Amino acid sequence: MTTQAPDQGPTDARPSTTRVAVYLLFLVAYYAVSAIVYAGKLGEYVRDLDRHFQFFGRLR
Amino acid sequence: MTSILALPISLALILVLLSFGDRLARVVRLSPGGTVERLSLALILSLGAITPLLFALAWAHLLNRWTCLALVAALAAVGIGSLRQGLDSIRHKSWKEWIGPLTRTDRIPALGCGAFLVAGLVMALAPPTGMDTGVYHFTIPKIILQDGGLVSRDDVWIHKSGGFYMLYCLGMALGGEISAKLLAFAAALAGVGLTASISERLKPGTAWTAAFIVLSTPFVAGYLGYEYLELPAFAYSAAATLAVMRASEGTAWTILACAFAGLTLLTKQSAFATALLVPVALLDLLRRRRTAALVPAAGGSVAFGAFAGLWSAWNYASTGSLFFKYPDSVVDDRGILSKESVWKGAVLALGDISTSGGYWVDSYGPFLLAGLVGFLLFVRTPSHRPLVILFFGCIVFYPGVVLWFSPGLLNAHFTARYLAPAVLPLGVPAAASFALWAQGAGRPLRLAVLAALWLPAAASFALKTGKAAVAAPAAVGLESRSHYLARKIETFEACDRLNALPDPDVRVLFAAVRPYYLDRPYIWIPYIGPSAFLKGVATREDFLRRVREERITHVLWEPAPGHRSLLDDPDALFGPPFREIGRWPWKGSQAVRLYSVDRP
Repeated sequence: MTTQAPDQGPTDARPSTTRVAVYLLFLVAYYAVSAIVYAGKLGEYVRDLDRHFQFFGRLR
Repeated sequence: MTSILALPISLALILVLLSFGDRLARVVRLSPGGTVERLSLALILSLGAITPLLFALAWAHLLNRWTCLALVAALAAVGIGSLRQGLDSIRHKSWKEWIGPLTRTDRIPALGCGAFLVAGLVMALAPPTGMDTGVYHFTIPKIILQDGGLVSRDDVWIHKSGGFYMLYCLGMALGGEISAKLLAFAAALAGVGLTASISERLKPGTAWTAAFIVLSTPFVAGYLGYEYLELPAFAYSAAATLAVMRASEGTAWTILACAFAGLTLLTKQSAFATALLVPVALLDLLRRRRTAALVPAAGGSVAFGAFAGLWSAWNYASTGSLFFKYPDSVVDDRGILSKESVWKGAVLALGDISTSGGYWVDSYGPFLLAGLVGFLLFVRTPSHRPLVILFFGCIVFYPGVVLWFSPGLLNAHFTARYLAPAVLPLGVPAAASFALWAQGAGRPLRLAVLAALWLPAAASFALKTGKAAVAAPAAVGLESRSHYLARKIETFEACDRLNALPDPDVRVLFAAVRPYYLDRPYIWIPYIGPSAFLKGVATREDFLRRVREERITHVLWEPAPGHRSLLDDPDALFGPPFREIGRWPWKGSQAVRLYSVDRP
C-alpha cells in the first residue's frame, strides 16, 4: 500500500436524486434503529448515574 | 499525589517522551509530517520504545521510582536537542500556529474537539474510578511497584497481557495515579492526532472533521480520561495504520507498522484485529521490492512477534504456559457451538458493531457506518480504498477468529470495543471525506449529514460533561480524594478502614470488585466466575479451613452479579469466627460488609 497523492475533488459532484433519496432513507432507518438501541443503553447508564447522585445526599 | 502536583510532573514527563520520540524518528530517518502527526507519532514511538525497557526492569525486580527517574533522565539526555527545539517553538509559536489554519468548515468541528478534550482532561485529573481500573488496570501496576517487579499470582489477573501497565508503572512511580492517567490521556490524544493525520493525507481539509468523528464516538468519548487500555491500543493501531500508509517511503515504516501492531496486541490481546495490518504491510513490501524485501520483512515479523509476545515470554518463564488460563469470566469455554449458535453469534457481533454492544461505550456511534456508506455511494476516491477494504476486512476477520477459537466471547457483547482500535483509524478517514464532500452537495443532503454527525455527538457530549461535572471538584482539588471516592466506589470506605488498622499483620480476603484501593496484602476473589481461593472449597468448614491456612484476618464482601457459590449467602457463611465490623450501602437494600476473623 503506497501513499498516493490525495484525490482532488469529489467523484460525484452532482449525485443523482435517486441516489440521494436512497441514502436519506437509509440514514433515517439506520438512525431510528440506533436511537432505539442507544435509548436502552442510556437508560441503563442514567439509572447508574442516579445511583451515584444519590451519594451526594450522603455528604458528611 | 494531588492533581495539582501531578500535572507539572506529567507535563515534564510528556515533554521528555516527545523529545525522545522525535529524536528516535530522526535516527531511523522518518521524514516528519505536519506538526500534529509529528508530535503524535513521536509520543507513540517513545511509549513503544520504552515499554520493553520498563518490562525488563520489572522482570528483573528493579522497577521503582529511582530506576524510572534514571530512565527518564536518559531519555531526556538522548532527546535534548529535540527538547530545546520544542521549548523554542512553545516560546515563539502562537497557539494559532500550533493548531494550523482553520477554514470555515473546520471551526465548528475544532470547537467540538476542544469541548470533548476539556471534558476528558477533567476526568483524567480526577481520582480513578473506572471499574476495570480498580479490578486490574491500575491494580496490577500498583502490585508491580509494591513488589518492585512482576510477581506471578493466580488470583489477580497479572498474567493477562499488559504492556501499557509498564507505562502506568512509570507514571505512578514518578507522579502517582494522576500522572498515570495523564499518560493514558496523552496516548489517546496521539491516537486522535494520528487518525486525523491519516485523514488529512488522504483528503486535505478533513483533519478536524476526522478528529471530531473520533472524539464524538461513544467509545472514545466514554474512555477519554479513563485509565483503561482501549485508547492506548487505539493509539498504537493508528500508528500502525499510518506506518502502513507511508510504507513506500522506506522499509523502516513497514518494520514500524509491524512493531506498532505488536504493541497493540501487547496492550490488549482482544485488539488482535490490528494484526491484519502485518501481512498487508509485509505483502505490500514484497510486492514493491521483491527479494530486496526479504530482510526487512523478516525484521518486521520479528518486531511484531517480539512486542506481541513479550508478556507471554514472562508467562512462560513464571508459569510454564504462554497464556495463563485464569478461570475466565468473559470467555465461555463451552466447546463447539451448534450451527444456530454460530449464526446467532455472527448476527450479535454485527449488531454490536453497527449499533451498540454491552455498555454505552461499546459503540462507534452511527456516523462511522453512515459516513462509510455515504463514501461508497458518492465519493469512492481510490486513495481511501485500501483502508476501507481493510476496515471491512477487520469486520470479517475478528468475528471469524473468535467464532473459531472462543465463540462464547461474542455473547459478552464487547465486539465493538475490541474491534475499535483497529477499525477507527481505517474507517474514519473515509467517513470524514464524505462529511466534507456533503458540505458542497445539495441542501437536503448537506443538512442531513450535518444532523447525522452532530446529533449523536450531542448525546456523547452530554454524557461526558455529566461525568466530568461529577469529577470536576475532585479534579481541581476542591474535593478530597477520599471524599470523592467514597461517593463513587462502594467498597472505598471499607478499604479505607482496613488501610487505617494499626495491626501490621492484616491480610484481607477481598471478595469484592475493585482491590485497587486496598493497601494491605490480600487475596482476591474475582467478582465473577470461579477463583483459585475457592478451588476445592465445597462447605463452610472447607472455607474456614482455607481462611486459616492463608492467615486471613479480615474479609471484605461485596454482592457480586456472577456465581460464587458459598459467597452468595453471606449470612449463612459469615457467622463466628467472622465478626461483622462494618457495613456500607451498595445497590437497593444490599450492602458491602467487612468482617474480622477471630483468632482460634
